[in-house]
Amino acid sequence: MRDGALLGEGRTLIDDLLSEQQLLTPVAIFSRRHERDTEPAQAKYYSDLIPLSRPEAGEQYAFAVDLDACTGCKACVTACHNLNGLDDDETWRDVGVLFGGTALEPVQQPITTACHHCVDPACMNGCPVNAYDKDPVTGIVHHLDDQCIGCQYCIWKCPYDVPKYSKQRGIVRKCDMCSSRLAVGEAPACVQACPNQAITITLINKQQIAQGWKKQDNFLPCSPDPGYTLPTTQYRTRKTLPANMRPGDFFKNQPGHPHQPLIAMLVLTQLSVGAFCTAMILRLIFPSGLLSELTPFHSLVALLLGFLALGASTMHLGRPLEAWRSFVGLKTSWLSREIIVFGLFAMLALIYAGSFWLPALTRFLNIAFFLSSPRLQNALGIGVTITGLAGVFSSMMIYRDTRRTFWQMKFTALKFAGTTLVLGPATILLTMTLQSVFAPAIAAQSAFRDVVVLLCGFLAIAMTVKLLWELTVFTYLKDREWTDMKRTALLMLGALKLATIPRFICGAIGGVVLPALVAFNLLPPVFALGILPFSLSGELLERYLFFAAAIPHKMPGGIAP
Amino acid sequence: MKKAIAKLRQHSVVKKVNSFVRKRDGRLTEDLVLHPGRYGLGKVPARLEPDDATDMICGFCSTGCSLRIHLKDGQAINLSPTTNYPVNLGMACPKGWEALTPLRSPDRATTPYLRKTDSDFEPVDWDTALQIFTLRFKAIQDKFGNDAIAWLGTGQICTEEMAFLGALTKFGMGVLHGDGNTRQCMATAATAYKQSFGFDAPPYTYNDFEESDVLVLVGSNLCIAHPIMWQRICQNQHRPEIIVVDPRKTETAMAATQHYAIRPKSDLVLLYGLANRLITNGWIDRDYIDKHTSDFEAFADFVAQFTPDVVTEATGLNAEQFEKFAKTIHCGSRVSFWWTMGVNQGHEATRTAQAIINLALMTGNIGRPGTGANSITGQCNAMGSRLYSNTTNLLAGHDFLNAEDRAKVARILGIDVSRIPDQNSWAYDQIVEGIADDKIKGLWVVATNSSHSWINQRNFNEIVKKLDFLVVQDMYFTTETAQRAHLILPAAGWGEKVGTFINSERRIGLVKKVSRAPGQALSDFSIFKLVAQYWGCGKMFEKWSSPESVFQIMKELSRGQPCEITGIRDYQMIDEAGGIQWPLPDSANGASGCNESILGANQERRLFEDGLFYHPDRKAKFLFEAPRVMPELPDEEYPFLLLTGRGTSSQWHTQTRTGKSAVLKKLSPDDIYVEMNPLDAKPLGIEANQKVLVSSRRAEVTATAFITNTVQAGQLFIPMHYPLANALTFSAVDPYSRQPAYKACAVRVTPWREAGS
Repeated sequence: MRDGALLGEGRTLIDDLLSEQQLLTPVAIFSRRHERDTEPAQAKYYSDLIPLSRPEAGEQYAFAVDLDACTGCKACVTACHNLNGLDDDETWRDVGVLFGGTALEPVQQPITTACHHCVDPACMNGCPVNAYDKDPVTGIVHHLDDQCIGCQYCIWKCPYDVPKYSKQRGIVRKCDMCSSRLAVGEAPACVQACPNQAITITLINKQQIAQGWKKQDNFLPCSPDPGYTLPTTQYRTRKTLPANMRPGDFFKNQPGHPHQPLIAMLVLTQLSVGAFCTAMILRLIFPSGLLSELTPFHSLVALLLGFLALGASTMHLGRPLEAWRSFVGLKTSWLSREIIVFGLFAMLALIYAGSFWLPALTRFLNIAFFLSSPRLQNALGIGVTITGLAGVFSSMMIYRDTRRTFWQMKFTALKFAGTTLVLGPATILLTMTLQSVFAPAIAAQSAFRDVVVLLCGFLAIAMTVKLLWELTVFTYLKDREWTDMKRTALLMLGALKLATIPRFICGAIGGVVLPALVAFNLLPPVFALGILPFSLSGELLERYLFFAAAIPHKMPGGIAP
Repeated sequence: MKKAIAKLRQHSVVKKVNSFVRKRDGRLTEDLVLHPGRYGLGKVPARLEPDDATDMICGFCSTGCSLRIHLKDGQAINLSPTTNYPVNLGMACPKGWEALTPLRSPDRATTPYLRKTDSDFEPVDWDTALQIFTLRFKAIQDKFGNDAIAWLGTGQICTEEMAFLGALTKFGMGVLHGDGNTRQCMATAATAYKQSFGFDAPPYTYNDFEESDVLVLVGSNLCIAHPIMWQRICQNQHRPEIIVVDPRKTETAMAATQHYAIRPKSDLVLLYGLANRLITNGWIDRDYIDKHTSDFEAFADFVAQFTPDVVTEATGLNAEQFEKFAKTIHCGSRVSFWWTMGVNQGHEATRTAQAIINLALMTGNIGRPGTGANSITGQCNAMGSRLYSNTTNLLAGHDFLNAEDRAKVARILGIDVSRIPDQNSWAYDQIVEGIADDKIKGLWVVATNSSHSWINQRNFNEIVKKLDFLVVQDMYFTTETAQRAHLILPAAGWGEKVGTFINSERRIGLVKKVSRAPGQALSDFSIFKLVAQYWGCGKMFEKWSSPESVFQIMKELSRGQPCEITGIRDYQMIDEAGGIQWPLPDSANGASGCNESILGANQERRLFEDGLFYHPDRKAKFLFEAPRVMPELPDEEYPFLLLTGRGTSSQWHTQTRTGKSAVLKKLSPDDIYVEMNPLDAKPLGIEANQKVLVSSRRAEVTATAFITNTVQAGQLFIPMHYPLANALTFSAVDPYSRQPAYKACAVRVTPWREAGS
């Protein structure tokens, strides 16, 4: 059967073929006729597709897309991927489809999209480290990869889903219109690669963009409001697209990324700020005797949880070691402001809390006594409160600034302020109750009970208001169109219902039922220990839904089952 | 003050601080830097700067685009489309751009695998694998006779490999029955041409896309299935009328100037009706008909019954539309007709293709620039398979039934003529039936994924269980078919071997070895060589030492045939010429052995410019037959008609390769979906993106509903790429081409929840 299978010197045909298989031949066999071609051969196809001149003052480069020529083949996406050497699954261009028309006249229209190199780029304005640069001559929006700290805020800020995060690199990357190609008269990869020459580079007048985009559909139907960032891409067609066009992925409604570190960061910073505020207010209302026994613990717990929050926030960053650059974007970025303000808050809080503990620890060194002067402590406390509240306000602005409907101020503000108002007293209640367990003498003071009742009462009212407000999201289920808010509500009752239901149960138990029962003496005070765990769980779930049920803005997508 | 600040900014310390605080360069920035690439490439990623470049033909579809492979140390590191190739003019579709990615997939078969248990394989070495291969297949032949083993080949391997597989099995191993997956895509076109023209000869060249003033596309979604051919239409400077006949409003229908959304499978009536209309209006080329065709009178008599009323009744078009269609054909001075799978995959496909051919013949729209009845093929080497796979035809378009042909082939191959079967082999569907009837007990599947792609897939998968021995030779061990094999042979893929492909316009192009195959994987050519050796017929294939030596044999076999290529010196000549279309007989060459007109400007040639066809009377035949109703009509129980077809340009067939590229996957929907009209969805209570159950008499499949006007009411569409699509399809074949009718079966659709309860 193996007749002739053995060749000379013990080598078999298998051995020969296996080694032959590994030989690469074309260079040796076929001529190397292309070697000297330093000029790009494709130029003959694309020389008409890019401008002959550089932009003049008031002008910039822009993509122009001939919708009538685009058939949705997606060569542009893969050409960009290969000619720019992107990572395996990285793409800077995308192709969606709009569907519509009537039974007799159905219409589908592919939409190819990359960065719109906006006149007023939201990515750039939001970046805490100024990792974006809009070229003063070409108008191209560049991303400075080595400056990026991987906070991904630009992804939220961009209404067109342009910046793409690379987990392995810890940074965001994006289209730069192949600026180094354009600089030497070569066309961008997508322009070079479109078989139907549907993509070109054109010069636009920035002033005219601002005028033209006042009417949404002048830019492109089914796309985010162009008035926000003033995108420059020119979608052109000789047809009239029917009014009922919808993206292929219009009805796809799936939860977004929950961003766990940010859930922890937001809820715990608000808890910490709330706890400092509560303690501060208590110091002003109640006799100093009791409070001087309580405050050191309050401040310690608030400080520790605050630090935990800030620690958690760095887990969100792709390159946390570069986070020190965050002050660079202070001028435009609420994220930069938040980082700075919370940094300040943390510093003051550390000193403030330290002022209660350091004297005891360092008594033998006889330093730091000056800190324990109640006046200074009060001043510090007010400083902590103000920076803390400013931090929480910055947090609100970060999300409001993304223009996501679920993150608009009326929801975000109430949630963040609500968490601060709810978890602050809950935390204080917990530390007080714990203290009273270990030091019954504290609990024996008459004011102690007053504090508990006050906090419980306040908490129950605040939480009731917060929960009711959150429930209003479901009124959007009545929307006839698939609005962003309706999608959010549908998600909360659908894919996310396992978070939605416990969110309201935890909130009601920890924030309403337990405090009320404790306040009315229907439960022994020790039950106050349950208030924070339940309330905190409820708030963490609320924040989970805040991220997972938010509907991002984007360009039209393709069919998405 | 301002000046002072500006001055300060220029200070080196300030600059240094600035660049430290705001980093404009570094490791991450460098990753995206572009450098001039040389080799005519323009700028390329600096990380992927080539030290050489070479051109080769893409291994996906039959367009046959040339890709310039960027090489480093001889190994492919990137690619871009070849600028000056006469096919693709510097462009490629997403599959072409991503052609190298599937080679790096972790599920490549890197060693032969032998089935150990029902669910498990064990790796074995080549010697063991080949011994088992021989032992098991020979045992089957000893017990059940030679014809109890069969093979299923492909349109995806090189022509030289196809010839080797066909010759090895039929002449060496004494196997009678073998067929290829080209049965699923091109058999109809091949049969139609053979009967009409006397030889399987697509007459066109891609330049015809640019030269037409009327293009008629029947059952062809060119924009998605063949984007680079659509590119050629976009290059057309004659402001052509583009007519698309398709039940769906496809991307191509959108881009057309006229779209006729006829009822599915009413195309034959439409085409006969058009013929009748052209005749009754006197819009035909009498002179051409008389000189170059036969049987026209009978045809004219036959089509007289297809009056406009009959046509409008059958197709759903109105009289005005029909009239406009006929008139547009008449008004065109260079009308070209193109068809793809919408025609080829039908229960009366051959006659439908011939009805298109008839229109071209009767209007004299053939043999001139911008004309022709032109079949657009599927796989990269469908044409190679049609000519050289030794399945339907004896090598090089010869006839197994013809003693002269057998003697010629035997002489050229230096084998005993008795080794050549004197009967035709079974087609794919008959081989499957043969397995069901216990006539075939061993099967060798090469580079195709039948368990996914064969019509009424579950029936197929039940039947293959009856096999005593199933060998699957593939790049991946994970294909649905490989997972059912007893033995898996690891094959090198496109880009890891040498050979030729023949594209839709008959252009022969080169495939080169630019990447190392993983592990022990071997080119199909080497595997066939080893099988010959182990089987004991190595002597017979002594001359078949390398792909290029087989190419020389192929040249000799083609001598005197319409597809003669004796004028092609060698691979080098193909490479230099930018692909060469058949025919190129050596009689056409000058003393240099090199035809100037071929290597020069005239790279695009069409057939039948002299009006002479390949039948003995040198005339083309009018062929026709009464239309039949489709085999499985929708009824009360299964009220919808299910259409299948290409989903996106980033998906290829069963996604064995395109599914390996993260980018291509991103560009197509992940999961199976079904397109349905809002008028159908509403009464069934089906909402957008809801899960639905699509059931046929053969299977139930859950899919996501995509509600759109682009499919007509009463029809559904599921892209063929998803593993379960062919669980639904109904097994019917065209009687002449035996090509399956994938695009028509009766189904029912219900909301998924309801069915689950």
